[in-house]
Amino acid sequence: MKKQHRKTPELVCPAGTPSALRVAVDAGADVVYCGFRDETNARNFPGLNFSRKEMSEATEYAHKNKAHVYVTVNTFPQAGKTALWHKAVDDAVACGADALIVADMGIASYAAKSHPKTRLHLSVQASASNPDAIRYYCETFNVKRVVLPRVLSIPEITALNDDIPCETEVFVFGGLCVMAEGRCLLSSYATGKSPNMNGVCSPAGDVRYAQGKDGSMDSKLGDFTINRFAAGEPTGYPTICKGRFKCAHQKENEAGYIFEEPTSLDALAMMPDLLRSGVTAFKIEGRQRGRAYTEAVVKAFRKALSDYARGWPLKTDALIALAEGGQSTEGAYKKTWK
Amino acid sequence: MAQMTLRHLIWVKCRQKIRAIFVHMKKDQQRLKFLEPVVRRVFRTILDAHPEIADRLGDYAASNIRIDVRDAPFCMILQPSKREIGVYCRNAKVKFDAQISGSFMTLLKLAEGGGDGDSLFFNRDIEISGDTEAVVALRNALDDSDIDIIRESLAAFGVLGLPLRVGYRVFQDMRPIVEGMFAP
Repeated sequence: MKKQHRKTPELVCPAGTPSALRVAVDAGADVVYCGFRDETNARNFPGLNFSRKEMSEATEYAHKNKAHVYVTVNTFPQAGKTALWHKAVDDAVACGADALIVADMGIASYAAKSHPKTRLHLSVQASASNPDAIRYYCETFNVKRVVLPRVLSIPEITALNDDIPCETEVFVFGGLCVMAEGRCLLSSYATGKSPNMNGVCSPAGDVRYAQGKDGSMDSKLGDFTINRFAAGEPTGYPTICKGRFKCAHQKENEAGYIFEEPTSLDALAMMPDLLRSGVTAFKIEGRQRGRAYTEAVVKAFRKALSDYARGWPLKTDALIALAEGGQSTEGAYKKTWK
Repeated sequence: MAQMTLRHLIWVKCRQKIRAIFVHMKKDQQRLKFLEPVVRRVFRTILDAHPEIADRLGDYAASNIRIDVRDAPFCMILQPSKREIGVYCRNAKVKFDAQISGSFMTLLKLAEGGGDGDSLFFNRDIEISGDTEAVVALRNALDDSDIDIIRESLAAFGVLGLPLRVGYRVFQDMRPIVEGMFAP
């Protein structure tokens, strides 16, 4: 049976702190996603995330304002350490979460059995991008929605939506990975920690910045210098995928981006196409960002949805000041490579 | 002897203070001790009003974090766990664990959550060095705290700050109207 496409997508917004959650709700988020203050979520940064008490209060605030809260338990438990992840699932339900976002099959199984009435969403970290994989999650764990990896073009998303029994959620703004979500080990090579297992890519404890007298800046990860920015040049996150390297045949001053450039996804201009592709929800990345970012991005997308509904033109350059490296891309949605 | 006017008396007192600054700068690593009671009072008032800051900082509260105000002649060293703050000449060589550097207005915006730290970093408006974890923890703790630095600084001085608080409130109320008048 063909699924009914939503006319207005759900706007799913990030919050790293209770204050950011309130800002997101007030700015027009339909849903806010957030995580506990530990390794169970993929934004395990110092000073970020929610205590159990904060999560309960945040959920209450969101519900009072007709918004929902999705709790991320989307890292992969280490062998013999599943108790922390099970507790996160139980506590999220107790705090009033409207859905759990999970990546690991074991955690999905635990959540489906222990809390069958709670909606399960499949995290982008699960990297499920083909109909067979998605159907397996739906049939086995009763997953209701899958967050699609940022590897698919819009025609591919349209075809996928016609072939799977669940809703889809796609990223429309924020940081981009090297399109190997849930499977990337670059951070582990340099620091021993990864977003998959520890919830943190390029952990801040392993990052150092050195300012040069000429205004340049080196960013270092672990024992490696991974980038050097000239004076005044916009910077990016200190991740290996966005480092500048030189190949064997190149000279020192020819170092360049091999994996990807520091840039943010901005699919605001592609919203009409994404809506026609049948997605249920638009997701904004950035739980590690400040509430000023949350407010600006949520407002911009809420306005864009409103303008689109009225048939007005979309203002597409409003968020460039928030973009990594001062530049944005439409990523795989508008695939120009093979 | 000519009679000393009130205006003259104030100037003499100020001159004494200015001389005292230079004496301190030589003796104590250019530490601006005369500013510290005021700044410390503000710092402690903010910490008391926002216990969530210490909670979010966790172990990083023990870090010495240097706040380098690029367009001012001074810097500050925060020690949240000790509820201490030191004020130094900007060129003073003081040990610290982590540093965040930016213009006064940028740092104020960051502290009040009015600017996104990552965007300010991408655009080179702020620079960080030393223990990045401590800086990230401080940024996140402040971002969650809904601090109004000026209002809370004035509140730190009780009745003495009352006229300024009233003035600031009027300024805040009027600001959108004035900005609206000059908006393109």
